[in-house]
Amino acid sequence: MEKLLNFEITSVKAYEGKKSTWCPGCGDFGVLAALKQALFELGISPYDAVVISGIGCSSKFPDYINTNAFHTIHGRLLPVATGVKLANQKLNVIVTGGDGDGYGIGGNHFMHAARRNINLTYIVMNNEIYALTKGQVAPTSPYGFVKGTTPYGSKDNPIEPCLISLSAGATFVARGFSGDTKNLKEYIKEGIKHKGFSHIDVLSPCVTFNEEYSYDYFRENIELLNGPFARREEAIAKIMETWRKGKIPVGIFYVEEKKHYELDIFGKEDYSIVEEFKTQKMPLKEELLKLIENKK
Amino acid sequence: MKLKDFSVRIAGLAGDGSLLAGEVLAYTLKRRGLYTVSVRDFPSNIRGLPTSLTIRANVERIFSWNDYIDALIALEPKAVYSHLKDIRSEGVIIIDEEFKSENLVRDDVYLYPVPLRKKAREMFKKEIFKNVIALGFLGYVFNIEPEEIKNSIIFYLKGKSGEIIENNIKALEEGYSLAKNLLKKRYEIEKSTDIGRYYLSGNEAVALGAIAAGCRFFAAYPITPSTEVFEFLAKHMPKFGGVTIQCEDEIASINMAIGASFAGLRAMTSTSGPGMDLKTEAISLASMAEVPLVIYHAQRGGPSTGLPTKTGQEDINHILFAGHGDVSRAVLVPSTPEESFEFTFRAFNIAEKYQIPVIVLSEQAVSQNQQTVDDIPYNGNLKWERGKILSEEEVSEYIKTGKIYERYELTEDGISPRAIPGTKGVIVRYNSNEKTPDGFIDEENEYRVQMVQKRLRKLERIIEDVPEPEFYGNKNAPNILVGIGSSLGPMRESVHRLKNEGIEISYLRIRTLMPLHEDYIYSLTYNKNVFVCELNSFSQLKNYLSRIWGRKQNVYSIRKYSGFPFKPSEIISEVKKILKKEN
Repeated sequence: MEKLLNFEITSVKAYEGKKSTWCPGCGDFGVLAALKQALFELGISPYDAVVISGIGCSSKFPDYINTNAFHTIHGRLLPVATGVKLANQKLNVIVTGGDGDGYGIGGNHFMHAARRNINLTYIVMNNEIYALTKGQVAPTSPYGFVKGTTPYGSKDNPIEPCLISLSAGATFVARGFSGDTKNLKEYIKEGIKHKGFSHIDVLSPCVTFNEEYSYDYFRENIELLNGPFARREEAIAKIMETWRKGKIPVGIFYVEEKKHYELDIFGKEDYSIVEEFKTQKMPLKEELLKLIENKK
Repeated sequence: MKLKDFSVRIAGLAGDGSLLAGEVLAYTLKRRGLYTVSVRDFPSNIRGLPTSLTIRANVERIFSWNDYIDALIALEPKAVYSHLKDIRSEGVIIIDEEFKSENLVRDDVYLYPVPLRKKAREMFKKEIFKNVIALGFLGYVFNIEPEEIKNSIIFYLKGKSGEIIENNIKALEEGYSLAKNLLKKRYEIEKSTDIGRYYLSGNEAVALGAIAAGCRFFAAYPITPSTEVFEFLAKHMPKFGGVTIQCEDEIASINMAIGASFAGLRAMTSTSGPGMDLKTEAISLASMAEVPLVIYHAQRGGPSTGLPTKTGQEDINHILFAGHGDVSRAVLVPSTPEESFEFTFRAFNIAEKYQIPVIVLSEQAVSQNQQTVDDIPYNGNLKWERGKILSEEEVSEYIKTGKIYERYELTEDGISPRAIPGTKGVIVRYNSNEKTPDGFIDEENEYRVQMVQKRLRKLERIIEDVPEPEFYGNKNAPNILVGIGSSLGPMRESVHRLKNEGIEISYLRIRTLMPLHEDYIYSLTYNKNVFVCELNSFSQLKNYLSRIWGRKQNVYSIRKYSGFPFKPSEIISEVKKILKKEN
């Protein structure tokens, strides 16, 4: 890890964290490389970024990148990130997690973060499997998947996360492939620049527990859509159409310029309660008493 | 006859306006210079189920309701019967003349059938005004000038249309004139000087305490009986530069508060029973990642959905032990609006000093009931103490020397300096996993043990910063009551009334459940008959405290679990019963 003394970032090395413990060949390596490169190219200093994760292989992300970080608990990464962002909008808040984390246990928060349109960049490393618990089905696993806890085949149908975020109100929705870091890096850059809730689903193969969804499988089956589409409905239709053909849609599906949540609340960009509070003194007693007197 | 201490109950169905009439009366009494305590009984329902407000008043500060009421306004027929037993001899009942009252079995009370609904219909074409007509009638019974109540109505209906206010005043005057024709018995009540006291609920006091403490982030999910904190803060927090957010669920709310605290703000969440269940996982997180956090928890009857609108002290076990693993925490338990304010304020200091979650444990009877208080305890003793937050000089030291900032630095007192994310020169790394001092995941024995010990060291000194138990009475009394929260008033009155009956007793009110002032509690209760008063059936408080006493001490449990706070007589009769059995 390089200690930055003059805040000038001269190479992507500045973002290097601890050596990763991911399995060799893990798809998450590609995502890590893409995010570091994206931050570097955007000139976001490690001091101004916060990476927040939940639990799972992908959620070890904060350890492997040199930015402010919070490794939280399973599925709760988006609420924690929302609290951070509301407290200090000057921080670039990047949320990194997995499909079980974000679409299973954290599914409710995912929907609500999207409808709030809070200005976060949410990167989900989607390997269609629970990996850290050694191979069980995820909400994105296909029907009939035979794994440790579904020996007779999963009876649950998979979800399509991008359709969920699109219908919930996300204003930036994309899907990348960790085997194609060049494009993925661009999606992440666009997502970070976008003011509003950016959802980037990343096909990220698990080389240990999910041989069905290998790099080769994705290379053969993804189809790059010619997005972003002008209307939300169109994006939804194109994604559904692609799936119907038996292909996995990737690309930037939808971008909408819309007042984001913090701007709506505070009426200004880059407001930081944390900074504002530094200049505050304890309220006067009269101020408090006025609140009581005006309670009716 | 002059009444020094008196209680009035206004009872009806939800939607009858009992609460409004009661609040107007309480405010009138406050302006008369009297201290009041009100006890709300309401259902988890919008309209049509029994609801009541009991107001007790005295020239001296009081903390609880009494065993009896002096007057009852019954706005629906059933209310007469359900509250009849609570009316003292020579008390007054005001009912609608349309109610059939021949079955009333008590002939020692004054019953006034008044054409409440009929008059309301005649005058306003709306029955809703019956509550204020009845209030006027009561005003005459207690010799309160119409002007006094009128002013309160104007205050309470501020913002409503002129016509509504006018009609309410007309209704009030009608009540007075009806009373003049019917009245057989009239009482005088005390009058003192209104020195600008405040009529305040525990919830309002908590919200004020949070604003005073510099809380600028509040995330919650609405749940009775804590929602008023949220409503108060939602209205006022933006004026102080802060933000409140209504979350999709309880889980999101506590995690958002954790995020805001990580970012450098004083943050709080609030909840009640079932909500606390959901927040538990994040309490473990706050403890492990060492995130300062204040959680306000107003207990209700349980388990599960239980008694959403009624009181209880059933969550003691949960609050003390919630979370998996060795979870650090402090638990403060207020009894009054003043303490609700003060403890909330102090909770933020404790949370930041020790970087732990601090729970302010209230209960419905403390959080929603209102009391007249002299003042809010906001004085020079309360200061923002933010603990170890890196100053600018310290940060520049890191930059100059090239030293790497360690969020979980192994310090002597166990408290590691906090840096605010976004500060140039320091990378701030929080982790819910076990970790190295600089915040990277590490499950190896070496750091695991050191980190556990670091977290343990923090807990050693918290006792210096939390409220001590309150002792009241004679230190040599052979008997002592022990309780928390809403038991304050009933215990206090029991001490006096038992003394009059020749039984010497004192009380010890515990104000911090964790850490516990074990030595202090031991020394005051040693070799005495201890009566632990609590609002649950499992004797949760007694069981928790029993480790202090062992088996040799005489410790008895006085329990109540109806959803209401103790009445003094309930404690008194239990104490007498137990003492009789023992002798």
